[in-house]
Amino acid sequence: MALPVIERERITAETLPKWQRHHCPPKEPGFTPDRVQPDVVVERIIMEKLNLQLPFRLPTVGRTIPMWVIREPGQQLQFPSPAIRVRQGQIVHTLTHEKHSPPPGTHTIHHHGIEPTPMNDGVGKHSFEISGQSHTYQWQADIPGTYIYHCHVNTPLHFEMGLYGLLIVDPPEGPGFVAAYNPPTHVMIYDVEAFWVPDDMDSRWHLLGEHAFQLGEQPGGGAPTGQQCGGDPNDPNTFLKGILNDWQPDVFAITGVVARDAATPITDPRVAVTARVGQTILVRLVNASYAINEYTLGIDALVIAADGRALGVPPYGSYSQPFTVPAGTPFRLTTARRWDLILRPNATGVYPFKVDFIDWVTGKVRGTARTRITVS
Amino acid sequence: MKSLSRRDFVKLGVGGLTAFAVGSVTIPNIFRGSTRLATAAGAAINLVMTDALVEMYDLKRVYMWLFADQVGPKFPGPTILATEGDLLGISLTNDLGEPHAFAVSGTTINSGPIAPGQAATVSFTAPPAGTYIYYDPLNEPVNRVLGLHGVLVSMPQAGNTPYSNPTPRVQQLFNDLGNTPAFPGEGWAPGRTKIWVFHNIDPRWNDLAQVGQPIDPAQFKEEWLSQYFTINGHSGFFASHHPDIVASGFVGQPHLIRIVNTGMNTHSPHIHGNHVFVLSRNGQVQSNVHFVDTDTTGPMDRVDWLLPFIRPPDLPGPKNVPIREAAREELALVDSRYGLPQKPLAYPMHCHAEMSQTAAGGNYPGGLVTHWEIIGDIDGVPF
Repeated sequence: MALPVIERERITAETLPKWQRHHCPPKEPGFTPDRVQPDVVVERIIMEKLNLQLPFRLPTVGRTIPMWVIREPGQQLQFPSPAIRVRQGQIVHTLTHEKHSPPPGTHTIHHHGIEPTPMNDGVGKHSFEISGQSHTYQWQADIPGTYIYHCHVNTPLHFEMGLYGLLIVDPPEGPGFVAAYNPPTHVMIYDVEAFWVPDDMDSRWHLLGEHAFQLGEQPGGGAPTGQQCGGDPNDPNTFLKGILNDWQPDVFAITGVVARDAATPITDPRVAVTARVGQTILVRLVNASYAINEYTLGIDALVIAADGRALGVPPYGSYSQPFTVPAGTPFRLTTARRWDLILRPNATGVYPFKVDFIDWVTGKVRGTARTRITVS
Repeated sequence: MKSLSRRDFVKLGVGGLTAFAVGSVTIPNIFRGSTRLATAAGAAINLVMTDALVEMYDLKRVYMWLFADQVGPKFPGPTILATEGDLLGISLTNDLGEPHAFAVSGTTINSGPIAPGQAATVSFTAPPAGTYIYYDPLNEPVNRVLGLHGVLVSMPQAGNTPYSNPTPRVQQLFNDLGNTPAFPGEGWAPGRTKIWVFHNIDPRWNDLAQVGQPIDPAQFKEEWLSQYFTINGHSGFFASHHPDIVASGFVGQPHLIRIVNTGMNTHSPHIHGNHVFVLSRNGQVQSNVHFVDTDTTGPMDRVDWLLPFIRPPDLPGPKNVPIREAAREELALVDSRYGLPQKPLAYPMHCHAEMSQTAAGGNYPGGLVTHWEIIGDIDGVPF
């Protein structure tokens, strides 16, 4: 039976260059526009392969899961990639070397929550991508807080594979101080700092090549024979049957440490916190998973900042205020959201932390990871 | 399937938002054109529940149940713009082969089931100022997700905010826009409003509806796997550049963005270039107005953002240097590969649950993404 058809726009000769630029951005421009003298240069190499040990065996990958990470020169490979840490007011140059690995890699660095010009924002379709070259992203750290940096090429896959790390902007006073409502200085002192970065993995995704299911690219990289980069947008055959829309996590971790199971708390000192009565603990909580995170913490938490913006601190915090999540009250964040929490244990004990990874359709818990704070 | 006679096969052209504007309500700029159907308060707004084929990102044609105005079926349905307290009469005709209904989320407005081939009228006063989803609540969530949904915007009778009873902090924010050093430029003008309808499609269910098969809602939710992710019916490149979706302005021209999620996935929308103020969630104007770069919208959530259009804070150098000078070389760039200019300053907005960034079997990019752009500095001169 005949039906009316609501059409999709067609790409014409006039709009084709925009389509192509959207899918095959120019490669790096060869210089940093409007370049100024930096206060600090941060150097990163993207990417390196790292095999992460699993405390169990998976039918897909066995006892280790392949990861891709960003390397800090002179430092060991780690997952998550090593944090970038700078101070408010510093002009930063993120000097990025795209390591030419066969087949050619293509990457960017996007500083998530940092707001420079588009040429420094690391999103290929609004600027460019880097392949086999070095490039400097330029930005000034205007507002102290917790951010992320990550590759923004074939993002579903590259972010999932581990091409991300934390980005911390400290107040001018430096580490040990955090932006928070506290007139008149609006910084708080903390004694212990924790980075809680829940992440989940779908091991099937970890068997794919860098360009898998990128439009107009072959799974191994490169455009199909006879096709222009980005494919023909008016040809349905451009689209391949893949899995990047399908999230079935089978690994659950906090800050790169894989949970053995849903019940056993992670005790690795990179994750588990130790502190003394009367100390102030800062937890930088970052959802790096593709699940809805639901957190349950066994101690009152004062939420002092969201997404790098301190609640209650003028001018942009003038319409908000810090608030307390009572112990045991679940709260949720979705992917890439960050909350800074201040904890002040006034009694000895072990305070549990649980993160449930919740499916974005069914609302069911797909996995759980736990750790704890031990206060003496 | 349908029981009434119907028009011949017709291509309806490319989708875009259309609206019924009741009385003297202020029209957002996106409706300034031929896609606005004016109606006096109290006069009937005619909506037909009908079906159509909708072309997806990969040109696959998917069967959908849609609300239609006198021009034809729409995905999403035609927007209804009214002022709080206006008398609205929605005249509904069910042109499909099973019962359908009309309800407004967050209210008790509900037509009750309308049998195939029958008509019904729902009369109500426009609810308290805010953003609402109208939809078919039957066989929840199936009928809504198959396409029977749209947005109802209720504007306040007075005031400079989108609300009749803003919280003191929201009122202070709107008072400060254009009047304080943190927000140089202009206040919010209701013309500067965007509506973003987030939706998802899994064509297996649309195929069942097309042949008249009943759908079990528990199975629907359990087995759901999105193949397409849309904003106002568009995906990927097309959503990225659609004038209905893209917020465009000078520094100092704040925009209101009304987001609704009519689909099955919980989204984590992330905006580059500026943070946004979260003003209202599901009818609750916020007392604690967070300023965020990433937010949460679950199915049937309605969230209003204020995108302040401030100078992106992480440009190096003194803030009293105009962007035109601070980014002089960047603004002059033309890429050597395609000959496209780098200006204006364009930043993406996309869901960070990155599965949503794909289309038609997980191809990237092609999902729930758009951009916004700064076309000039506070001086009002284009770059």
